[in-house]
Amino acid sequence: MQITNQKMNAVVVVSPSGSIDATTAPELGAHIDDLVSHDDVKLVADFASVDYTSSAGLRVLLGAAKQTRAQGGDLRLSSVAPDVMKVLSLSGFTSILKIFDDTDSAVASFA
Amino acid sequence: MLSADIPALLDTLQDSYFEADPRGIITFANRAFFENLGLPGRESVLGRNFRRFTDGRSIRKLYQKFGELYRTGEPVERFSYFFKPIKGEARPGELSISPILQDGRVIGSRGLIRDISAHVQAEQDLRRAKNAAEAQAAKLRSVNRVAATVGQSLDLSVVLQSICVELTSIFPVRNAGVALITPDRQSMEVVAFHTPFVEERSALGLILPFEGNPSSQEVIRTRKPLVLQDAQNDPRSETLSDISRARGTRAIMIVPILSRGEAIGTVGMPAVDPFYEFSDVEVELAETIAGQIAAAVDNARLHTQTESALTVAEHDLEIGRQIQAGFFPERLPDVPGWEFAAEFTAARQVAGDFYDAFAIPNTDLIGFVVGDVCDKGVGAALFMVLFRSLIRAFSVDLESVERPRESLLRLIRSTNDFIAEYHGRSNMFATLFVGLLEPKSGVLHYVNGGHEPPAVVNAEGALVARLDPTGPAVGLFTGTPYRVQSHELAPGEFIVGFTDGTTDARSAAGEPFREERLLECLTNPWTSVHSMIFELSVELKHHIGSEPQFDDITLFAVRRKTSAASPSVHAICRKAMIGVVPEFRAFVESVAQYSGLSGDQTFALKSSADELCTNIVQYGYPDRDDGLLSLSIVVERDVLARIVITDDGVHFPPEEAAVPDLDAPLEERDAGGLGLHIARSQLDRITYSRTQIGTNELVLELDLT
Repeated sequence: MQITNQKMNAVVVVSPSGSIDATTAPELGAHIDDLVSHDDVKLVADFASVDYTSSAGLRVLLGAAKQTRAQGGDLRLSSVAPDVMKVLSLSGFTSILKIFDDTDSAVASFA
Repeated sequence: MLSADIPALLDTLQDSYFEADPRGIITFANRAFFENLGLPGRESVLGRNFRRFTDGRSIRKLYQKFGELYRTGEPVERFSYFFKPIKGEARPGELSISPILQDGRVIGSRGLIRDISAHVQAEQDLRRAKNAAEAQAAKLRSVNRVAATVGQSLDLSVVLQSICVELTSIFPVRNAGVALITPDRQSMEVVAFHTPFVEERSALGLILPFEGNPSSQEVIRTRKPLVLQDAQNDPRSETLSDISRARGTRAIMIVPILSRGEAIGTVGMPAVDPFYEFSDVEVELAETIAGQIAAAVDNARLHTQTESALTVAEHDLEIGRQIQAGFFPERLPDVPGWEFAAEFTAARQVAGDFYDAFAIPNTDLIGFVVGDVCDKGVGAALFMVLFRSLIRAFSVDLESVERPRESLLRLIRSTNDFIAEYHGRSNMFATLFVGLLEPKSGVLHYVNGGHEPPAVVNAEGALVARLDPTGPAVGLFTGTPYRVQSHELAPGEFIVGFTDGTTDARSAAGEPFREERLLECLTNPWTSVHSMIFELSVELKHHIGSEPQFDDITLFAVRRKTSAASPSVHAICRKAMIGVVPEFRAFVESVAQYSGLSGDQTFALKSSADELCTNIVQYGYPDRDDGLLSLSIVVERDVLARIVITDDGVHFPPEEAAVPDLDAPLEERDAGGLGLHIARSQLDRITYSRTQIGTNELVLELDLT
């Protein structure tokens, strides 16, 4: 799994790529933990290049949202593919996570 | 009589000596004093105030120092001082003064001036030389920076722009502009421009016509630099004179940009000082930099040409790939009691390998082909298309069911003769295995034209036959003889055709995959050829690793099911560890797609299999790492898809798992039980049982009705 960061003002856009499952989720989790430990708590997870996620990926997103919100930030999602959206809505995550059509609007939502 | 000799002695000094009264009137001066001032004799200085021979900038200091002398009665330490000769520049000196005392009272002063102008001159020369050397070094650094810029970027406008910036720092110019000859060769266009002065307007994009502009014409024609001292009025810059006037340009240097001996443009630089004269060294330096500009332009133009040529070639190849993909069967035949599977991976965008499988119209016969056209790339791809089309075209002849063997023989002969006769000059040929299957009897008629012998494996996983060549490669000579052979497939038996790209597939260490290993993989009691090919592909992928694929890889398999009514059982087995989860998921996806399921159905199966396999490997083996996990799928068309996951881990009925609260706010949300919930919400049934031999069996069912 490849993960890139891009800082846009106070917001960090995290862009993972590929499939997020039990084998790759720990890497994404560690990546986000690292950002939060450096006080980057306004995060956008840009899912444009994520073609699949299992509950292991949801667990990471849930943990990240809890952590960032506790510190006055948030984790927001953008550009979610239909297969990933399906898992999000089956798990009731669409009501607890803020999801945007594109990264720009997700970043702008923090302003 | 020492004192009588003193004036004579003082006249021998090179330094100026004088005595003055308290008002500053000179009462005595030695020879050097008046000579250093350029005066004819002593009388021209005696009785005159010392101040008169002092340069304006030192007067103030002079009063201060003499004041000190009269106040303290002590000598004043040497100080620097400019004296003023009668003609020419003031000269630097060092003056030391002391009091003339009488009865303890200061009645006058005496002073000694050392002319240090020679010394100062030397120092100035040295500083000038040092500055010149530094300037030269700075210019060299600039040239190097320009060279580095040229090498760094292929974006011409960026390169030229930074060169202009460098030019303005090297030369005392108001601006630097690069103009290139336009394609119509009628004018030049300013493509890069820089000025350090904010008030100066940019000339970027300005078109400078050649007509009536002899200066540009001259530079382009002679390929030599030109320095105009009065651009506003010089007839050689007639059309430019308006622009020059508007811009206040007078002195301007124009240097040609030469590419392979031809002028392709100019660099123009007007001096900041309208009357500045560019030195030969500067013109030479400008020419050097113009050479680098030419290199940058050449580089960029070459790059653009190569890029566009490459893009066109890549685009063409991609179209070729798409067209060729259309020559592979979109779906494999659907025949009760039989299953087909194939795998094809091209080494390049277009390939010489191919397989085909098709129902013969008006019969219940199935034809199939595995082929390998000699050579690789576009040529091989064109012939692949030709071979495949000829076989399809000549297969119409197979409609006469009575004599399938004769028809098959005619097909291969016609194909061979057509290629050999009409394409003989290309020296292209193919190894072909062409099969004609009678599904009812299970008899396979075949011609093997020089191809790798397909393997036949029975229900128990034993190799029962190799279908050896029955003639040479196809397309070599007209009239080549071929024979037809037949083999009857028993229930559960399958036949696998492959190309040499499979056995020759190289690992990073250069090791080929080898036929032995291929046969080892094949000789297992496979319950589906799809599973067999999936596993074989995984093995091949592991073997090749990240190496570029050496040759096209083609696998094609036909299996006679154990009973005509039973659906195929696709199965996969792995060591129970987290790393295998993606392979299980990929397997389920491939079977679902192979079985023609919809996107939603495919996703439901693969996502459920992922979640449940993950749970098993994470919780089923708390203190073991030798567990086994197996998964099988059966798809009954339009009825049901069933996945059975078997493991030998701890007993864990899914109903004992946590049930997530999907309505809780984020802070109270827990991720436990989510995986099972995702599977449950997409499937129709999940049942769990503990078998008598102590394994767990999870059955996942999705209705397809």
